[in-house]
Amino acid sequence: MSSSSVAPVGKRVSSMIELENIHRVFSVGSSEVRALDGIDLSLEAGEYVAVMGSSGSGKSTLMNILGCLDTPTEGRYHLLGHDVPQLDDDSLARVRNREVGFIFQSFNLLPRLSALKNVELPLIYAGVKPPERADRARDALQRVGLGDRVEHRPNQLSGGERQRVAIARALVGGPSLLLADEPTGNLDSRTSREVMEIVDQLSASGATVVVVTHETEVAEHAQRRVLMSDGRIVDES
Amino acid sequence: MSYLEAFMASLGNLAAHKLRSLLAMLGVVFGVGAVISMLSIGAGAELQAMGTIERLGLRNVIVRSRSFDNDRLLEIREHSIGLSMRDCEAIREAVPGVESVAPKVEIAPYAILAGSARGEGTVYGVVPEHQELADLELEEGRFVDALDEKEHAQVCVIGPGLRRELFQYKPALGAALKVNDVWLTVIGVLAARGGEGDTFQGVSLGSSSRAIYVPVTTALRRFDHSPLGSPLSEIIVHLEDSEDDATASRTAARSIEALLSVLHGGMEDYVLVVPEGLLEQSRRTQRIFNIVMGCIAGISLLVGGIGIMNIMLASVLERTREIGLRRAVGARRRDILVQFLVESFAISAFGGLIGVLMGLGISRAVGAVADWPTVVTPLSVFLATGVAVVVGVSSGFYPARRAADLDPIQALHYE
Repeated sequence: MSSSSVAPVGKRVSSMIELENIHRVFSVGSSEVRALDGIDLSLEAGEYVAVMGSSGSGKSTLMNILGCLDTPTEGRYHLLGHDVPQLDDDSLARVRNREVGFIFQSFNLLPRLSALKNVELPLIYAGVKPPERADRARDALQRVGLGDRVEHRPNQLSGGERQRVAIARALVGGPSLLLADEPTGNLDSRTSREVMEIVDQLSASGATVVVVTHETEVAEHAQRRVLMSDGRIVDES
Repeated sequence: MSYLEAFMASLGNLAAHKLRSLLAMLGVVFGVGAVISMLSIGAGAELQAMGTIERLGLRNVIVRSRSFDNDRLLEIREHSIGLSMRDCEAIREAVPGVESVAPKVEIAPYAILAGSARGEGTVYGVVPEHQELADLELEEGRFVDALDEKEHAQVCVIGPGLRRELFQYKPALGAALKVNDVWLTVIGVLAARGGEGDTFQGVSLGSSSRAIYVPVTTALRRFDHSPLGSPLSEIIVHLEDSEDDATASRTAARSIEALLSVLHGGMEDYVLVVPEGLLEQSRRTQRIFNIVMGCIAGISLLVGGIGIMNIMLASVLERTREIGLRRAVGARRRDILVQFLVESFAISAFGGLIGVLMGLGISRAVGAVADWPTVVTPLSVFLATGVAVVVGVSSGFYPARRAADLDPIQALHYE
């Protein structure tokens, strides 16, 4: 990341993530759905936060906005000094590429590619040259304990292994923020624990982690828990 | 992601769906194959036409006597005796830019005999210059010369076909043969020539294989003529070398036309053949042929393009989640667009390649089976593959645009 892209905007040199009065309204036909209705949230670097809530509470929308996949209808969002709502499509893509690592419930691995090639994907769009790419992807797979599985395709891996490949993909680019959307939703309890251990380790090594979940066991791994309902934060602990 | 890398990745993707990729390519394969084979047939035909026209001689203007039924001929002969040596003299004297004038008499003999052997052929009374004008090569002996002409010598030069027929393996030079009731001594035998086309666009070229060339004076004096026939059957007017043969031959043709019109009392008992004009005509025909072929090929390439678009749309739909994921990890819209464009480029380029091979094969096969000359020109190969690639990429554009415009969040959760 270049130093200019993280230059602070305005006077407030502050938290890594600053959400201020965030609204996100979807138009469904003629009616409007307020998915987010005034969210204020700030995260310090290295924090480990769980966002909880029932389905429809707006937690996925919040995560999409945090991950720069979506932009708020209203409100201010600063990520490492980027004024996210002002960014154009290409800049958003760059921020996602450099600053954000996604972990999805359904892994979203490309079935035709080996674990290594899947992990290389973000580096391709970061413009990293092939030899370095493979090295870094191999390192990332090593970190999630899959150093011996690099050439396996997703269908040759177990569910837990697949999610670990996805985690490797999320961290390979050295992002500032890891976003996990129901990371254990498709896993049994034993592999869930394995996967959460890895997330814990990443947090312990300094990564900023946001986990969206409705499982309390998962949320208990976090230092801070945010409870959402009807597009608002109703409780924090 | 570099283009090369995107290209390699798309090859992998095509390989993963072999049958589907092949089906997508099919239209382009046939389109390109058709273009190349058709153009090769056209180019072959043109080459043949060029060869034929060159045999007539681009710097020649040929005057031929026309044939009529007897009643009409009687009428015409009251005003004109037909093509004659007088016309030759007049053209030589009056038309500027003429290098030589070669009269030719054509006689269809009723009998050609050498000893006990019989042959069939045509007698041509010619001048020594004819050898060069008609580009005749001798296998042995010599051609008719000026002395023969002056003395009405009873000598002849025969074609290779006739030589075989009359003399088999016996020596021909110096042998005697009897045409009608005229004895001739063989002084030369022509070399065999490939590609003996007999007519081209209605113009008879005459085959030299069964020809008997005698001095023109001999032909006029020693052989019987039909009283109504034209003394000469053809006059070849050879023009001087000039910068612009096309204009020169047209100008000369106009002068000759004007001159003959006067000499023949306005009777059109002759026809002018301008090889340069034939060439022009042949090019025009060729152009029309090419346009028609181009349209057919264009349609098949269009169908090929639709095939590619169809497959690409299916592919975009099928890979919606992949697109969402790529966008989530940092692909810009442009990257997605390029990815799919490169893929449709790969399909069309690959299809084009197979099409080129197919076109080469068809053109060979046509050459071998139908015995047509076919020439695959590099231009046609580049043109066909170029058009195929343009069609492929442009028909990939809409699907690629759709892929690039997908909302990443919806794409990620597409089932």
